[in-house]
Amino acid sequence: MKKTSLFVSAAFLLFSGMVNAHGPVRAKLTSTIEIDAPAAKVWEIIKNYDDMSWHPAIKSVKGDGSNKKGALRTLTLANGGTITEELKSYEDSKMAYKYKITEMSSTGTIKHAGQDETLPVLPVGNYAAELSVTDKGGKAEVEWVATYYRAYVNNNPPAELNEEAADKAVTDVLTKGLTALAKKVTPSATPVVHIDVKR
Amino acid sequence: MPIQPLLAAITLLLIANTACAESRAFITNQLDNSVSVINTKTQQVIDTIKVEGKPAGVAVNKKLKQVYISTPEAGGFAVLDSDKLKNLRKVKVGGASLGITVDQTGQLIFVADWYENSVTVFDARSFEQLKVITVGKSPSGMTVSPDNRWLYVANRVDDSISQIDLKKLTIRTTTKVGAHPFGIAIDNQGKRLYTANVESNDVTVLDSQTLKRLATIKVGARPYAVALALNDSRLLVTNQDDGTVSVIDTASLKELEAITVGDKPEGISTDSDDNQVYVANWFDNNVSVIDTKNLKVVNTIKTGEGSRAFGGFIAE
Repeated sequence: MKKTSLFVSAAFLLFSGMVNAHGPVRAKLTSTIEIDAPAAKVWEIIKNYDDMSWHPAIKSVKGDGSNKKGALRTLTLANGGTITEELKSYEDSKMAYKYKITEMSSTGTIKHAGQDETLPVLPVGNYAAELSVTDKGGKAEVEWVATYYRAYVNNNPPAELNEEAADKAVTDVLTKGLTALAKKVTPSATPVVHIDVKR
Repeated sequence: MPIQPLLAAITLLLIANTACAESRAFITNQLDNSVSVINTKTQQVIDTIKVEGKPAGVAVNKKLKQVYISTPEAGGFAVLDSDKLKNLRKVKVGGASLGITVDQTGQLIFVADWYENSVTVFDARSFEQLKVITVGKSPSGMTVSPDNRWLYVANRVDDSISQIDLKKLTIRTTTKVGAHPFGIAIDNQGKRLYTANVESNDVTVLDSQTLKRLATIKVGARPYAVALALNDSRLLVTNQDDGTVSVIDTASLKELEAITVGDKPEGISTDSDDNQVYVANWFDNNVSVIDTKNLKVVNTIKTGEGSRAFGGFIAE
């Protein structure tokens, strides 16, 4: 191979890498499931902000017991990690509440671009979500929508903290939760979770 | 004779109607790759124009009856005819075009490149690239002084504002503001500049001639952009994480109220009546219309997914 073409192709690879890399863009991940039960029945199970016992990946929750705006809860995950979340809005009549992550524990550090990067237990930044139940012709439609950025704020993120990692982790949490909730209400039905990611 | 006053009345009515031409709000729906066009008199969506490349920023060229839409994922910006509501052409610019604005005479288009840390200047008629000005890191919001003397650029990652001399197209001065300034606005007198600082949850008020810091005003969580209304007496700020718009009295620099709008409010612009303010709600896929006199949301208009509308998006 000629020297010049090797140089050109290397330069092209470097350039295209830079062009494809970009700063964090906010994602909107919508997960939904239909449960063959009255919406009010499903809401009863999930409506208390400090009760996440319906979610298999969450070992325990410590909250102040209120469903008032500003209430804090700390989730201890099955893997030992912790996530603290603040309640942003709560509407019992609409069977919905919104919250955001304020703190997360870390699972370790990695080295990237000469710096030590903390790995948060969920590889996301500025995470907020809404959990709601709607009556759909006698059945319950549960919708869990999350908005977040990838955890790494500069360009050229490491694989552990890029968009794919963020999407995968959030999909996992929401899918596990909705699947378990459906199984709890209708044990014999096959839960089907729909996921839609927009960025 | 009764006919003469009748004719006079009809003539006056016709003149009045053509003078109050319809205003249009151009809302970029970033997740839908489209732009919703709202007639601000009827407050209805009259058209939805397809624009590929995750459309985000908006700038209106009143003189040429064009609207420029930045498309960060399509390497440039799209040019729309604001009357006929058609795509006219695409213009290529470097890394990721986000912030976009026009000078007061409609002759120059300024495009901020988020990665290249520069502002590219285009001739608005030929779309010839005239100059590339290096600014700070991740330039975002921009605004031009009413006398067309200065272009102000928010350098988000540098926490600063650059003031560019529009005769020389060079930087005159750069000054630090709060953390991560994003949307900025200048008043009608060209006296004060306001910056929404995303990471410090406040607004910096600067003297627009000297760039001297006059005040810092605390607002809500993660402010995105700012707009002025009621003869510059009111400053409105979108608070992304609170779902509110802070309304500040610019004389006392105190917050009057935080009005609840939709989820993740972002772009904000004032209508030609200098009273009604339009807010794009990214999460709710709609636009809230605020009456600034009585501080109430008077309408919510359904637009597309990920409504962002970053910049001045209302064409008179």
